[in-house]
Amino acid sequence: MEMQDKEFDNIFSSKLNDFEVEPSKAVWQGINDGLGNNNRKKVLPLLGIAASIIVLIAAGIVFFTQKVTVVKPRVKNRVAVNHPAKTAPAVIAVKPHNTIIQQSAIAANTVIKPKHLVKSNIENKSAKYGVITQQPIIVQPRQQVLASATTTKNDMVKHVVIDTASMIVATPVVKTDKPATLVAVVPDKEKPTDTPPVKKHRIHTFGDMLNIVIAAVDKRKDKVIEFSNTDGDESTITGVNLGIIKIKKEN
Amino acid sequence: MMFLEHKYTIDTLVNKCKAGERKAQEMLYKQFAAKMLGVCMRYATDRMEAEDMLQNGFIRVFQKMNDYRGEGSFEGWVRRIMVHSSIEYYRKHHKMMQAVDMDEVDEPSVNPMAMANLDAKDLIALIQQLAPGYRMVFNLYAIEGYSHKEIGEIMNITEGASKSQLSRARTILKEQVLKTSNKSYGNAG
Repeated sequence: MEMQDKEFDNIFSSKLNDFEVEPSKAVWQGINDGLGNNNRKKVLPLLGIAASIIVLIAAGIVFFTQKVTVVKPRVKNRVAVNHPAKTAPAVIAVKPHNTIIQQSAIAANTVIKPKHLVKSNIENKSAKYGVITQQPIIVQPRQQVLASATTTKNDMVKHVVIDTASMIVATPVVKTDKPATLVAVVPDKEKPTDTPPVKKHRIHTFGDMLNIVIAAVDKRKDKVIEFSNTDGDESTITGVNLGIIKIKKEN
Repeated sequence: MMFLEHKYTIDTLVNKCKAGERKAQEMLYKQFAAKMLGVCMRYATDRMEAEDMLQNGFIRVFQKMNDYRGEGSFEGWVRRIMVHSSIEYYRKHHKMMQAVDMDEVDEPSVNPMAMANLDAKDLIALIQQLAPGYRMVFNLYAIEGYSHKEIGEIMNITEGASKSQLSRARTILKEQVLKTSNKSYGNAG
C-alpha cells in the first residue's frame, strides 16, 4: 500500500518536475513594479519635477522681461523730455510729431484761405513770380529765428517749422506782404508758447492746482484727469485719460 | 542578446542582482521564469493565480538575494521561495481547509500503467481540481519532498493534519486518474 503511494507520488513528481510554462510579459512588469525598478515610477516624478521647474522658470522669465520692457521706454521718455537733443530722434519722433502736426495745422488752417487765393492768383498772374523770390527771403529768416529758438526744445520742431515756413512762403507772396507775414509769424509765435502758457496760468481754482499737480506727475498730453481752468469758482472735469479710455471735453 | 545571456553564469548574474542591476535581474528572471511558473501552476487553481504567485515569488527572490549564500543550488533556493510564495498566496486568498474528516475510505488501487498515458498537463489539471489544502500538502510532500513536520510548520497545521490531508489528496487523485483513464480507455475501445 505504502509502496503504491510512493510510486503514485513519483509518477507525479517525475512528470511535473520539468514542467515549464512561459509566463506572460505582465509578470515581469509586475515584478518591476513590486521592486520599484519600474522606469515609469522613477521617471514620471522626475519628469513632473522637471516640468514644474521649467514652468516656473518660464513664468519667471516672462514676468521679469515684461517688467524690463515696461521700464525701458519710460526711461527713454524721461530722457527725451529732459535732453531731447541728445536722444535719437527716431524714438521721440512719435509724440512731438503729433503735437507739431496739430500746431502746424493751426497755422495751415489760417493760411489755407490765402493759399487758395494765392494759387488762383498765381495762375492768373504768373508774371509776378519774380516777386516770390524776394518775399521768402524776408519770411525765412523770421521763421529760422523761430526755429532756432525752438531747437533748444526739440530738433524735430526745427524741421517741421521750416517745412511750414516753406509752405507759408508760397502763400503770402502774391496777395499782400503784411497779412502773409502776420499769418506766418503770429501762429508761429504762438506755437512754441502754446503749451507752456497753460502751465503758467495762475492758480485760481482748486482745479488749477490739481492740474498742476497732475501735470507734474503725468507728462502725457492728455492727463489722467484734467479740470477746467476757465470756470470761475467751480472746477469741472474736462478730460480723462486712462490709457484705453480717453474722454476729452472740447472747450 | 543571446550571446550576452550565455556569457554570464548564474553566479555572476546572482552577484549582479545583489548589486541591484536591473538587466541582470531580467536575465535571471528569464532563466527561471518558465520553470518556476511550472511549479506555481501546481499550487494554483489556474494560470492567472499561478502568475500572481510567480510575480510575488520573484519580487521576494530579488529582495532576499543577499540571503543566498551559495549553499545549495540557486534554482533550489528560488524554487523554495516560489513554494512559500504560493502557500502565502493561498493563506491570503483562500480559506485553508483545516478540519479534515478522517473517514477511512478505501483507497482505489490505480494501475501505474493507467497513468502512463497522462501527460504533465493532465496531472496539473488533476491537482488543480483538488481543494487548496489537499493540493498544498500533496505538492509539498509528493513533489517537493518536504516531511510532514516541515509541512506542518509551513502551513501552520499539525503533522497529523498534514498526513491525513495527504492521504485524502491521494485518494481523490487516484479516483480522478481512474476516471480519466477509464474515459480514455472507453474512447479507445
